[in-house]
Amino acid sequence: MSPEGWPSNTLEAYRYTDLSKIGALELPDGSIQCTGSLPADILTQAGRYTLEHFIPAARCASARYLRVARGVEVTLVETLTSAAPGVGAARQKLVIELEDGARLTHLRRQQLETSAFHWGETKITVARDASYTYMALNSGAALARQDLEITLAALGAQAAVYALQLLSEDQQGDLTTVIEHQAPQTTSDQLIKNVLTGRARGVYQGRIRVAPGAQKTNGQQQSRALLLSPQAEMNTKPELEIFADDVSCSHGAAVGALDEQVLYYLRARGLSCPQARSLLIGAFVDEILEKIAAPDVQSAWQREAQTWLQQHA
Amino acid sequence: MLQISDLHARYDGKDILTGVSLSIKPGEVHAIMGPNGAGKSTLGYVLSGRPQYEVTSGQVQLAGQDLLALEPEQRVAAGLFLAFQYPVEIPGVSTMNFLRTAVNAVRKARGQAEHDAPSFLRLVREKAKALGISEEMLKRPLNVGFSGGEKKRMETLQMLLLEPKLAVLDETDSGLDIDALKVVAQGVNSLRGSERSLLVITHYQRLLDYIKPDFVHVLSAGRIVKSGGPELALELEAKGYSHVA
Ligand SMILES: Nc1ncnc2c1ncn2[C@@H]1O[C@H](COP(=O)(O)OP(=O)(O)O)[C@@H](O)[C@H]1O
Ligand SMILES: [Mg+2]
Repeated sequence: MSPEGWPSNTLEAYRYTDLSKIGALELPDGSIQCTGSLPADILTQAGRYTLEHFIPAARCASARYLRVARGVEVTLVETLTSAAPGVGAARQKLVIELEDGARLTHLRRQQLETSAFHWGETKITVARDASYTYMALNSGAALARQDLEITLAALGAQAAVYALQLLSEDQQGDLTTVIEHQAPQTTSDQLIKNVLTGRARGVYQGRIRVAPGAQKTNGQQQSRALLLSPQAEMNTKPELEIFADDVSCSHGAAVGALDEQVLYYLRARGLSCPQARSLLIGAFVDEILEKIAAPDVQSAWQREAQTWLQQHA
Repeated sequence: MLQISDLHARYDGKDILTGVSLSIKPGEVHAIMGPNGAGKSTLGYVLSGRPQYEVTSGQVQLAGQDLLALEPEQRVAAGLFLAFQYPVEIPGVSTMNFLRTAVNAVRKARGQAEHDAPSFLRLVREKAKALGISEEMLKRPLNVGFSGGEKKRMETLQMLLLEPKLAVLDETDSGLDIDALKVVAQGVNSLRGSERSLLVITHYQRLLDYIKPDFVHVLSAGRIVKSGGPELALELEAKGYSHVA
C-alpha cells in the first residue's frame, strides 16, 4: 500500500489499475453525500430501496453496512453521481449480509464525471439458500475500480454478476470480482461485457475460489469485450482456485472488433455504416440489459446505453 | 436496367474479373452459369460494393446511375439487391428487428414512408408464410442455427421486402430440396414484372426450370465466354462447361 492507503500496481491484484496515483493527487477534503430510501441498516420489509451517492470534487470516503433479513426479497438501486465537475477521488465501501433465504438484486449505476477517480468496494456474504444478483452499468469516471467480493457462506447460496462497461477516450474501468464458494451446492454466474472506444481500457479480473468440501458447486464466468477503436484495450484475468473435486466451473473470454463481413451484409441490406454498427453494438449490450427485472431501471439503462452508442458508435 | 461494360476487378491482389460486359433490359431474366471459381460470386460482390473487392476498370450503370460511385447501402436504395450464396449469421439481432430496420432504412432513402410496427408485421407474416418461413424463425436471431435452405428462404424474403429493380441471386438454389426450390422460385417469380430484372447465378439447370431465363451466359476465368438463349443451359447440363467454354 502507498502511504495514503491506495494500492499500487506492484500488488498483483492491482496490476492493471494503479490506484496509488490517486493517493498522490493534491485535493481538498470533502464528504460524500448519501441519500436514498433505506429505512435502516437492517431491511426486514420486502421492496425496492435507493441509495444515491453524490461525490464532490474532493478527496472523500464513505462506508455503509446493510443486512437483509431472513427470507426478505429486496431490490437496491444504487447510483454514483458527481455532485460537481472537477477532479475528485472517492473511496466508497458497502458491506452487505444476506440472511438465510434472503434475496437481493443490486442495480449499480456508476455515472461519474470523466474527471473523477473512484474506488468502490462491495463485500457481500450470502447465507443458506439466499441469493445475490449484482448488475452494473459503468460509463463514468476517468479511473474507476470496483472490487466485488462475494462469499457464498452456506448451502444453496447463489450469486450472479452481470456488468456492462461503456468507456471512451482515456477512461479506465476495472471490475475485480472474488467469489468464494465456501459451502456445497453454491452457484455463481458472471457475464461481463465491455464496449471500449478511443484509448479506453477495460479490466476484468475474476477469481472463483472453491473451498475444500464445497462439493457440487457451479461457478461460471464469461467476459466479452468489443473494441471499437484500434487503441482501445481490454485486460482480462480469470483465476480458478478449486479445492474440491465434484464441481463444475468454467471461464471464457473473448475480445474483438465488429465483424467486417457482418457489417457489409447489413449495408448490403440498406443500413448505413452507423446504423449497422449501432445495431450490432446494441445487440451486444442487450444481452446484459435484458437481464434486468425492474422495467423502469431497464428502460433507463437502455436509454443511457443508446445515447452512449449514438455518441460513440 | 443494368449495363456492365468491360468490368475488371481484383481481390487480394488477384485479378478475378477480366472484362465482363453484360446488358440487362427491364423485365429480363439473365442466368450466369460457370465452373467453381469462375468469378460468379465476385461479380455479385463487386456489383453490391463489398469492401476489398477492387474495381480496376470498367463501368456499371443501374437504371442510369453510376453504380460504382455509390456506397453499398446507396446501391440498395438505387434498386440493387444481392441474395448471398453464404448469408451471415447475426447473433443477438432478431430477424424481425433486422428486417424492419433494413426495410425502413431503404424506404427512407427512397423517399417512401416508413412502415409502422403493426403494418410491417402483417406484411412480413404474409410474405414469410408464402415462403414457408415460420413465425418462430422470425423471432430467432438472424440466420443463427438456420439450415442452408432456411437461410436461402430468408434471403428471398428480404428480396421481396426490399423491392429491388435488379436482384442478383447467387446460388439461391443450393441447399434446397425440390419442394423448397419450387417455393423459392415462386417467390422470385412473384417479383417479376416489366420493371424488374433478375440476374440468376446458378450451377444447375434445375433452377432454370422454375425461373425461366431470357438469356444464359457462361462465365469462365472472369469473363463471359458464351451467351445464348435458355437452350444454352440445357447444352451445358448435357455436355459440361469445358465443352462449351
Ligand atoms: N472472399 C474471398 N476469399 C478468398 N478468395 C476469394 C474471395 N472472393 C473471391 N476469391 C477468389 O476469386 C476467385 C473466384 O471466386 P468466386 O467469385 O467465389 O467464384 P464462383 O462464385 O464462380 O465459384 C476464386 O479463385 C477465389 O479464390
Ligand atoms: Mg460462388
